[in-house]
Amino acid sequence: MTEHLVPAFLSLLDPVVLLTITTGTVVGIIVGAMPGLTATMAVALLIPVTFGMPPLHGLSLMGGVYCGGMYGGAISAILLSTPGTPAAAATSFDGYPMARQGKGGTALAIAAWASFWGGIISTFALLLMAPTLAHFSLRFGPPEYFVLAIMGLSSIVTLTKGSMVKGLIAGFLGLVVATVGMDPLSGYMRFTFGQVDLYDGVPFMPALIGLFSISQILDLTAETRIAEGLDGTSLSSIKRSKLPKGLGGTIVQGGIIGTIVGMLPGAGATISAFISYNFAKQGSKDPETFGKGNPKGVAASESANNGCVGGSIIPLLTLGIPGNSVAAALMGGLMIQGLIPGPELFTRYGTLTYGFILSLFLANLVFLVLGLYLAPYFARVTSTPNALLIPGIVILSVIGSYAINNNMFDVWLMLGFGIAGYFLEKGGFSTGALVLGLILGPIAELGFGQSLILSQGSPLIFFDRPLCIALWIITLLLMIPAFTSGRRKKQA
Amino acid sequence: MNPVTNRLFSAAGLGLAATLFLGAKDFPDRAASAARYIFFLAGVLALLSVIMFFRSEAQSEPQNRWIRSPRHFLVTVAAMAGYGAAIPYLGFFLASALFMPVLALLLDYRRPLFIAIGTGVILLFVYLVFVYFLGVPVPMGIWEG
Repeated sequence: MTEHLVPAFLSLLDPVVLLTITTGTVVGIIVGAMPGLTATMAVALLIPVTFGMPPLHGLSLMGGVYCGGMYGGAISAILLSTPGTPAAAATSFDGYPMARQGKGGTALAIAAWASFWGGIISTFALLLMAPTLAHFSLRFGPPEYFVLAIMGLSSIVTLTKGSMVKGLIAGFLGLVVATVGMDPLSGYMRFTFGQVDLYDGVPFMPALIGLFSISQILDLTAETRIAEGLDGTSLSSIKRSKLPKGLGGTIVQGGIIGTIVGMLPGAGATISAFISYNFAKQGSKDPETFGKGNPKGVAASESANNGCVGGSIIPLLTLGIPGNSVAAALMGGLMIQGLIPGPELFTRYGTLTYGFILSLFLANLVFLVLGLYLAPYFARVTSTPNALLIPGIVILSVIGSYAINNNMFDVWLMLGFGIAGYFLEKGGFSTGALVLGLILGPIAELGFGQSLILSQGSPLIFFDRPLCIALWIITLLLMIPAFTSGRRKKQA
Repeated sequence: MNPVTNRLFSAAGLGLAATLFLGAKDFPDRAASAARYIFFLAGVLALLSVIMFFRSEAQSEPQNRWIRSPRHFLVTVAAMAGYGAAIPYLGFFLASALFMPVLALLLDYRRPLFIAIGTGVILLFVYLVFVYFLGVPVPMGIWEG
């Protein structure tokens, strides 16, 4: 490895490479911040563009888009409660309340630092331990995926602020909505009512935009500004505001969770962000402040989703198995350059591969600098009059929902989810829990069905494998504090 | 939350569970495992709805006002529905150019210059990112060539 690192590092000093990394990261931030535009879409669109470029230029451009896109999702999640990417959904739980308190700039700065360190941790893992970690990820089979989904679902307990029963109902409602469409095992169409647009299931992004964005703007119709007290002097105080202390442990924990979950094909950044948020809340001395603007909530979610970047590339480069859809698009970028994932990438093409890995460090640095510098200016959005902001967000939500499948049906679905989400939230049902059920439903169902086929119907398969047992134990440990704190409250 | 409202939500939950149960009953044999999963979800949903029905949570939950500003809420919902209906006919850009000023005015914003600038900036941004760079074929309505 060391013989490749020095030439790889020197290849990055080429100004054109530095320019492509910066350009890719900026494009990624913009794409990530826009609901409906995904890093996968941007990387896929760049593949033909990179065909004519030298391999390192093309790969570093796509790597920059990936890193920037993952961070960019936090910007709209924090300022408008509209996650630019599904992975930033958990960021909005505490980021948006912070913006409402006039701390949008601080929340954005925390997101930038947490994303940076999450990305750095996972890129180090990619650089130093890729082959070992890739083989570990292969030990995850359907039963482990099912238990991992259960671990994610246990976050419902965390996300629920009031009645636990209502939180669970919201989570199960999400699981129910996720059953719409083709059954993954038999191919049978369920609850589609003959609507062709539902054959692939309820599209996730329009549902997410509706539940988070439209329901929020309907609530904002009663107010004049997102952050009522924010004025010109507040803006300058944002520039001077210091980062809260004590976030280091949460960020490191999130980065590690993101790296591990990111390596698992199909699991992805969204689940890792929720699991990390759950860990942070359950390990906190003041869990009741989560969901009300606790900086650790932002740090946990953002470090985990950016931690997935390096994690998802580990099985891609070593085994040719992409960890998620963006990594799959990146694989297209590798193939178009004639690079086949596997051991040769680290030997014959070592300089190029390590150059690409090192370029991810630089991409993280670029979005950190941009994020910190621009945070106070982005935060100005919260002082825009709601009468202007509301129609603007609706327009972006409409085009964002439409752009996924170029389909007006998705727009109506998004509006429907928005209105339903508004009334559910008012009724005390957590839309976060609903989204979690929607995300994890397909993974849980597929893992459950495949496992039972493997075990010929015996549910013992979920309890007799070492990794499953470890995951069950972690899940139970995560749930204990929530229930004991509930009991303590009752006793008090 | 009002206990009556909670009971209405419980009834809706039970209704959904019953619908799921009846729907999954008609699944063919090849989708037996899918039906079992739906039965499981319907069962849990029904159980939770029953628990919510019988639990008196009126004291423990904060009292929410369903709609804090009814006029603004209703005009926003109506404007969004009208906007969605207008897009296929007027095209995305014309419908958006009308929607933004109309809703801003309905929400009592009275600064035409800022409305015009805001509309222009949003539409220019959407055009550059979605249409120019990403080639998203936005609905053109009557302008479709």
